[in-house]
Amino acid sequence: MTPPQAQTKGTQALFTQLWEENPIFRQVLGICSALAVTNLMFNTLLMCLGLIWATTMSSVTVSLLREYTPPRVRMMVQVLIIAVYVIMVDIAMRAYYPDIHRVIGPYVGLIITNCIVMGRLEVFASKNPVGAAFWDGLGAGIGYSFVLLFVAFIRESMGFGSLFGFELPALERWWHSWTIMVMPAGAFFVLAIAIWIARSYTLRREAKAEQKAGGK
Amino acid sequence: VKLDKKHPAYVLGYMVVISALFTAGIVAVQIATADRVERNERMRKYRAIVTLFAPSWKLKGGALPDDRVVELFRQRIVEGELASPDPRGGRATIKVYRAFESEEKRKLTGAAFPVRGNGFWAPIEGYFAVTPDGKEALGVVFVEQRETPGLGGRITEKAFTNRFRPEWRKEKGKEPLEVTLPDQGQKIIYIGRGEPTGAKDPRHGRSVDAITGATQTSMAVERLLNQDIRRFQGAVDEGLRRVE
Repeated sequence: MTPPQAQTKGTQALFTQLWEENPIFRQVLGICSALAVTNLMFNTLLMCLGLIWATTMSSVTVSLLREYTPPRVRMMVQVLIIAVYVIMVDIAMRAYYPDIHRVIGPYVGLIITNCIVMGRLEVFASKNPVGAAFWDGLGAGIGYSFVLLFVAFIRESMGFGSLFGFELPALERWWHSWTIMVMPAGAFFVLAIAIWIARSYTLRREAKAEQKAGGK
Repeated sequence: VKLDKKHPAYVLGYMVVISALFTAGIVAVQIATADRVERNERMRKYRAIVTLFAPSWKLKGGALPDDRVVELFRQRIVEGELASPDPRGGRATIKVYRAFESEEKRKLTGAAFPVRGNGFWAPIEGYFAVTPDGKEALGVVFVEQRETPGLGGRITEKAFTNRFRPEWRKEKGKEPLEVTLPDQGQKIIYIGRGEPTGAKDPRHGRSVDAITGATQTSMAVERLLNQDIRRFQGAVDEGLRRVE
């Protein structure tokens, strides 16, 4: 029997990564950066773009080289490829967004060891053609990003009373900023609640589908 | 020809080629952005120092475009060094930026020097400016910090840095912030140590309000400013007055 991953091709890989196999909700990977960079939406967006670039480009490259890469050194090659793309992001960010680079710089470097990227390369890109690897990498990046942006949306609006740095209207009348949302602890709460909601929704849907199948 | 992917020579050759190829990619990106990175670093320093003196020049430091910042820095700021007599600091010299009223460099606006020390989470770096006689503060600006966002991180905001500025203090009915060397055992400036009780209180004319909820950062800033202002005051006699 072929594992389900290997059967997934093309754009289907994209959608699988967005919801069913979402790196954060379902695989609980890449949590370190999810907690660290999500107190401002703009910082989060840059981090997400960096990760989308790293997952997509390394998936494509690993897939392109899969016929030539000696199996014994494949992981070394994968780490090298990820590191190259991440360092490129790091340099570009230092050149064009130096202020944000000072804040999230250390976490950008950590994309190299982010389990999402390595996981997708090892499980999917090294066994599939370029097109499918591209969509899979893109999907994993976007799947990670939308969860992070959701967490950042909650944290920035509740912690700073702003979105993308723009103050929310008439905030002082109805809101007192929650410092805890700015601190790392805030991310734990928001992320845990988000995972809880997403998983219970999925589990309920799966249970219903099973019930239907059993009733037939 | 069928390649044996398990052969050590193939593995070695493959790794060498791959490493060379990708490293070349990074070098290319690095070279392409090197000028911009260097310019960013330079602009950061220029803007910090121009921002410190902008109110004294009747300009709005934050709103100035990059070109104007560079122009002002080149026309009105003179970079120099002062010998530091403090052997504990490990630094033999202190960088000093003398600011002048105009391009002719006749009248001194003040002088700025770098300040640096450990914050609550990571090092804090900035510049501190004093009047030409070195007795009062003109302002402070922080360029590097990793304090808690929204709490200690607010040391970079005007709401905090204005508390060091003479025009803001005058508006609030406070004396300008004195930075001369104090009596034995006293601090040069006090951050968040309560309101001075009278003219004889050592905090009189030397007190700045702390940031609520960021006690550790406020204390760290107090510590690093006291240390570096003291070092500057020790070195100032020869340097600044000679220029005047």
